[in-house]
Amino acid sequence: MATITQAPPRVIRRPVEAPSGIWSWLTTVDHKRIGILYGAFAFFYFCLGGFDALVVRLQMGKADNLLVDPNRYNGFVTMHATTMIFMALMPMSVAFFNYIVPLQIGARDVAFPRLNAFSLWTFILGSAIMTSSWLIGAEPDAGWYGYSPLTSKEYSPGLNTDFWIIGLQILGVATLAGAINFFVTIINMRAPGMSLMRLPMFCWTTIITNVLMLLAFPVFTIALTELLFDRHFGTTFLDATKGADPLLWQHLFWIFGHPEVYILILPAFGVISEILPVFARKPLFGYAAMVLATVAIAFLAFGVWAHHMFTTGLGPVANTFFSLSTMLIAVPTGVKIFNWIGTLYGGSLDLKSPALFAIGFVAMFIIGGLSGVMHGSPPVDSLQADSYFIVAHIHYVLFGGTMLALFAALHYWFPKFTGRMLNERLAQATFWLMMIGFNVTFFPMHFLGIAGMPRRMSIYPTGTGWDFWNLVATTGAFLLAASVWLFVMNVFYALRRGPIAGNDPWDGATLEWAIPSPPPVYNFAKVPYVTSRDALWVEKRADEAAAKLGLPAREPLPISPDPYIQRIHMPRNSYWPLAASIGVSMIFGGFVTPFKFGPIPVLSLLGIAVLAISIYFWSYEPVD
Amino acid sequence: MPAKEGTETTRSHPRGARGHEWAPVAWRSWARRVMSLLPLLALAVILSACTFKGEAMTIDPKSLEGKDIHSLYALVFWLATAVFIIVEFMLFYSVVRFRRRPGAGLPAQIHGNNRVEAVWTIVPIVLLLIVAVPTIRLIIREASPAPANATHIKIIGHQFWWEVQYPDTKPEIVTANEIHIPVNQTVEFELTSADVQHAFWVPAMGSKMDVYPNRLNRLKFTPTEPGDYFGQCSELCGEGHGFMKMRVIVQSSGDFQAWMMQQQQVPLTAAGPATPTAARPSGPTPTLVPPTPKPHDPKYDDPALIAKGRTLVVNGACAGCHTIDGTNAKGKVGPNLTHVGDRTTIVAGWLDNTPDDIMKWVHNPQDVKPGALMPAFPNFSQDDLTAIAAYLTSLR
Repeated sequence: MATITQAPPRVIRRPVEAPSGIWSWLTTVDHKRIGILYGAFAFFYFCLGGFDALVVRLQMGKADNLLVDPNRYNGFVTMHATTMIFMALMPMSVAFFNYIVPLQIGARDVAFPRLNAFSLWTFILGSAIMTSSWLIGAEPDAGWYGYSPLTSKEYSPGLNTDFWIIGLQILGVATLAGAINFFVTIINMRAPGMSLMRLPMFCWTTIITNVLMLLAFPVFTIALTELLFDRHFGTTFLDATKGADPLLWQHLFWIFGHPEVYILILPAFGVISEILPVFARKPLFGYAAMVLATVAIAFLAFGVWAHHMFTTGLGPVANTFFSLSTMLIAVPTGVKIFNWIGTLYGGSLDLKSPALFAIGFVAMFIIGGLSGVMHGSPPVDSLQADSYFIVAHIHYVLFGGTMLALFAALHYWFPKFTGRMLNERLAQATFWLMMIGFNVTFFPMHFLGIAGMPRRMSIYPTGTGWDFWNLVATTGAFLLAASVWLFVMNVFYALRRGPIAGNDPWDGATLEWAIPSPPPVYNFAKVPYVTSRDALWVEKRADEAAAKLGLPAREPLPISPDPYIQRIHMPRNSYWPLAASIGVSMIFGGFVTPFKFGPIPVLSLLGIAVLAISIYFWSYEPVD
Repeated sequence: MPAKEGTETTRSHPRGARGHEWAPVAWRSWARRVMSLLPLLALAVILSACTFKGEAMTIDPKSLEGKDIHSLYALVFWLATAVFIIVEFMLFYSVVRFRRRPGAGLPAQIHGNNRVEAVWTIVPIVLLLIVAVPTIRLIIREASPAPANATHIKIIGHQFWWEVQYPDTKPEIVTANEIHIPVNQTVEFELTSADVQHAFWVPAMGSKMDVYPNRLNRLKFTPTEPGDYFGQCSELCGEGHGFMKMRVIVQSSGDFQAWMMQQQQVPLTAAGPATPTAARPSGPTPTLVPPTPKPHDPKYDDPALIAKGRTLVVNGACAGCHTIDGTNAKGKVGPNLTHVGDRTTIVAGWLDNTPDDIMKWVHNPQDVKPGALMPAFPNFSQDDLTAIAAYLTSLR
């Protein structure tokens, strides 16, 4: 290591490290702190998106309701979906990628810690910009999928759609940066002896989710860029009156959009594959098949997109192809469900709250998956598309699926993050109230879809007969809100007065349970040498067997003898990820400001300068 | 065992980290009793749906194509229900049967079973084939061209109303939001949009089809039962999306012919004073009249009032957007109002076709239907509005 004979100029010195204080959080590159921040913001946006949903349900609770005017309603519907998908579910999954993946692979941090911080701040600023649109009454209101021509300048002249575009572009930058990071981390930074087939399932689903992100998000970036240019620079990519195909937007959106829904569900699959074996005290049934199924799902995900377009008039050949590919993708998904049941069967089940949420996930995902198969048949889908039947399906897979799994993950890993246990009685009450509330809200939507109620309607007249089940669904929504409130109370209680968790409260199978809760900044004092899948279990059982035989105690985890790996050298804090995020936000944020230099917003040009300076100093700042 | 920094583990007690029961026995048995009722409650809720009768039930289709789809849906539905019952049972059995017993040791550490895994990969493929084959057959059947004697109707979606044209008729019938079709005859719709995306859906008839600018989509159905059916736009198209409804009126062949003839004639009161005894310009007098709007106060039949209304409408702002055959009103922005008095509803199926509703609408459309592109007319007095309502009601 070269010695520095002269202190570098003040401006490019790294920030002074501190264990607490706002600057230590703003300049952090520690994956654990970044995970906590992602999780906190994601949960906040989950509550915000939930509030949007309550307004929607209040408006739909009775016929001819004048509670919310149609423009505002379209805003609430659009922002409910956009917030939940891009600012709650995805970031919450990323929070777990951040915190857990390095621990599970025996690493001290991710491959690119400053890029990790950059993803975080870009997410925070992007979602803040998108959400700030509410403050000026310009919230996006053309649907979370933004179909053209409604989103064109002609039909959406205000700033609403511009906020939608720029918010998503900024979030897209964050996602792509994170995807590269986790992909490289899992490929390059596994502990010695951890081959890919010894990787915990959560890490498998993480790496595959990140591959999906890397391949799908650029398509969305292109589509959004075309829309932005049409709106601001007079291009005609999507203008049907100038000869554009009115379906172009939909194809581009859904080529991204379908892998996106797999991005939303695969981390949940990984969480369930972690939790069920631990609480059943037996390994995941059919690990190889699970890995293969996940890879197959990711591959097929790019070949099913037009099942979102069965009613657009693509013709019988296209409809047939996409119907078959959609049914095909149901096969690996079903295999996973059976493997989870196989994990439970013959086990010794301890039905604590993480296990309950995980089992609830399997039960609800079965329903969501079956309604999805129904939608895979175009003639049946021509009745169900754009109706409340689809709303029921998506919530069964996204709430009953992803969100229940994320709650399972929160309950499972809370002791690791905080060192304290959640109150088990309150957690079980949360689970049951959530299951009841969820089913009361979303099961009746199947009936409403069959009765012909379309989606995204701001109002429905008396005489349709839809009133009763809508009222039931609205009641259920408030039960759901109450269950989330119970969870929040549990967290506050546990943080102050929860019992100390220790390293391994659940008898876990993976490496994160071998270190203290919460982990020290360097994670592992000694990087372990991994000899099998479920490494920690194998070592603990061998340990117990040795103790029974009266043999001398051995190290619970073998240590890698390589002194280079055992060095503890942690990345230093840095200002520049935050600065670069500010630059990116300025570049896109300019498009909702009125000051322009020619056709280009002034703020965007300033943002380019900020970004360029940040990247320069990021690249040249000293290592220590 | 000596603690090593950074590599300590503690094994969890079978009863949890705190080493004692997580809840007292009494509470748990009470909770268990309540929980056992939940499946019964859920079943009651689900079965109660069988009594649900909404206005537009897709599972009671009134067209041949709808019935075809329904047969396929029934197959898929019952198959899905069977799979649901079997798989959820497998799940619940596993959860209940294999709960941890106190003092139990480690269960058998099974990693998988190739034969079982092969079975549960192949069985879903077979089940999906059972769904796929009739699906593809129906897709092909739906794609067959319409028969030669089909009625052709062109639908143009607007923000936020439906323009309806009968291109095979001469003179061409152009109406709005209310579509008359004959029973037991295939009707083929050609769908396009004048502005943004919409979707055309009459649930009782079956499929929906999206509606786009610069693109012609086709949809056909063969209604099997006369009646008055509810339809609506099913693709978010802006502020007024929720109000963009329509009515499809299926009539016997004779009634339909009569309706078409009436539509092709200029209403008696359109351009001149109403004279009930004036001979119809051409063709025999229709013997059967299409569904009558609500009976109205006879004061609206006063010829003087109608004449005043005619002046306000035909010589006023209305003519800039609306067409009334036989007059100088030739605007193409809004719905064709030639036979508006005949329709059962106005404002794209949102309001009943009564004089009061007409007046409410004309006075301030945004009050009734936020997002409507029709401007308000606050300068019309109550008398003016009454006259306009009388004139429009008379256009039958």
